[in-house]
Amino acid sequence: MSHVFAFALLLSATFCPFAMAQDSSPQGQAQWLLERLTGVKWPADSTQVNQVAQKISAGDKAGAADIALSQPQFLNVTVKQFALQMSTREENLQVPFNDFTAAFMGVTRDNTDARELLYGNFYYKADPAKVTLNAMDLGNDILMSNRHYQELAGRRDVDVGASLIRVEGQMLVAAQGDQGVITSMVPNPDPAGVLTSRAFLAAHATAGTNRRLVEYTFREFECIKMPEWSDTSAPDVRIGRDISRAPGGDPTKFQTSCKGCHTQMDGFRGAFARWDYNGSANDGFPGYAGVTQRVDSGVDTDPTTGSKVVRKMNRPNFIEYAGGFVTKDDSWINNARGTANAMRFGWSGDSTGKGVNSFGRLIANSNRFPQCMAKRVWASVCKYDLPADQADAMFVSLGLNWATSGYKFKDLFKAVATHAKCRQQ
Amino acid sequence: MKIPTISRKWKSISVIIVGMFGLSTLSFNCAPSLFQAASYNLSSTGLGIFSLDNIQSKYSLLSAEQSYQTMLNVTGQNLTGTAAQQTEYNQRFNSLGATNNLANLTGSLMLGSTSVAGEVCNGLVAKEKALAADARRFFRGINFTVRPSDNNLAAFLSAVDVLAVSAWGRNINAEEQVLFSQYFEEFKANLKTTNNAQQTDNLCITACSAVLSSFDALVY
Repeated sequence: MSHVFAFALLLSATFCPFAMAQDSSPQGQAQWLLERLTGVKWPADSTQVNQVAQKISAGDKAGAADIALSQPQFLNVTVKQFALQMSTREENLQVPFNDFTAAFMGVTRDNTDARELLYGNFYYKADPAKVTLNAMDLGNDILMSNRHYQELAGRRDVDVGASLIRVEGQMLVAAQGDQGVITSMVPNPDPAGVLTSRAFLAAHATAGTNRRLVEYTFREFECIKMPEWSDTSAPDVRIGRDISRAPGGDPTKFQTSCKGCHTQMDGFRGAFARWDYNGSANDGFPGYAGVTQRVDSGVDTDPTTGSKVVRKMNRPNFIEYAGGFVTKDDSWINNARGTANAMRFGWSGDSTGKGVNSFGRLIANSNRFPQCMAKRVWASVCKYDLPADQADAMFVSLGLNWATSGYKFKDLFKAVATHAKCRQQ
Repeated sequence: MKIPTISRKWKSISVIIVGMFGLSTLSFNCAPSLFQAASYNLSSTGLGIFSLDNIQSKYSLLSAEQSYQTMLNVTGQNLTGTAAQQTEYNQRFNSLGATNNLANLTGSLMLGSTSVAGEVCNGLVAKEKALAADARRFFRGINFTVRPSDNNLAAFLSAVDVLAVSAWGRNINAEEQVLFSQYFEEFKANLKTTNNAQQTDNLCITACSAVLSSFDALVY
């Protein structure tokens, strides 16, 4: 194949696609719309392109988008990739299909409120009436490993998006016997949609101090990196004992730097105080095998406090400042309420809570969540960034309309793809 | 499938072409778009709600799954793929696009794409060979029962053009027509003793692979 490769390179070197003018004919618009919503290219003479072109010619852009949204590739490629990038720490597309991604695809297909992704008590799996898999066991193949989802994604004869079924009630492994055999499972007492999915916890609750769970919740669902919402004027009473108040002997550094992020992360991380992920590398996917656990369903309590929180919350062997906050329950406080952050996030609801479910509700009901989803969908479909002076207004507007219409992902994809500015001229 | 052995001439051409490709896509022809498409940064600044992330390109790189699904889709094959196609895709998965970032379009990605395209085109040729000539979509004028030298250039270019319309959304231009014409002649000239009907399959597979794994087919 080497000479074919060379020939392909030669073809590539002879022209530059960026120099090509955008085809603004109905046919050209149709092809672009189909490609951007389904994530794959289509033959110019295909039935789908012609159908979409007819709708565009008739001035029915929404109808044209509906045809694209009804193609199986919309869920199986576009939405799948949209969610895969958010599901793990790597934030790329070369991660296995997982429960987090299945939930996004299911919620999109079923046209349900996307906010439930952050606090709902459900998960999606393959419908046994539609597809038969070897890895169908709830305990071993869904809670203890990712085998169920990987086998489903590997089944090329299956339309994954169409084969998913919503299951009410998240479950947890409560006890394991010899060789890790599951001896009991219990309903998840603190369900929070994808925040308590195996993929998200495997990515962010493994090792560490559970601060990463807060950091990545904001990164993925509020589209903001930690340093950008740090606030050194916020109170430090919630900052843990493992954070030095004078790093390198300099208390000023803590006050002017460390404190800004830790006041936010440590304020919220109590929500995850009962969660841990016991990962191992036994299914060929390092760091992704293992089980999510809660202290009230089997994990040891903190011996130094006797409280039902995971030990890493208080790190008894790593105390930098004895007067720091000791986590004893899963309460959290929102310290991102300073002037800038209050405007940025647009909070509604309580500024304190207990557990991941209430934390997820806070995020889902913030003004910024729909704006962030609008920005992500824009990146997924339009593939370019608006100038800064247009971006704020665009995402606020798209987010507001999306929220008003009920947080349905199909509506958002449609609104973005048919927006006059989405396709660059 | 036996592919003609790569000649020293082709090896030399490959090296030159890699350089040409690098220069033409990274500096002369496409520089502004390519470098502006450095990354998707979904963060925000402290001033505006959402920042300018400097992505101005009209085009994005197809990810691994997008590339594979696109190859099957534009050639009108079953989206599930054959066992051989799936195996090839799985083996090349890690060299294909991990993001939609154009800056990740590398030589290894194009090489991996060529391998996957080869298997997809193998499936296409097998499918079309089984059809009567006038029932085919791509290789209407190709006679698969005779050697390449008994097929004519016009039929070959016509097949390439149909492939281009499907994969690139446009007809081949004059420059590409010259390149494919040269390829047709060189393919025939290099065959020597293996000049049989099987080589007509290979000619079509390689031309199809070149179209499906070229730059224009890997972006959208």
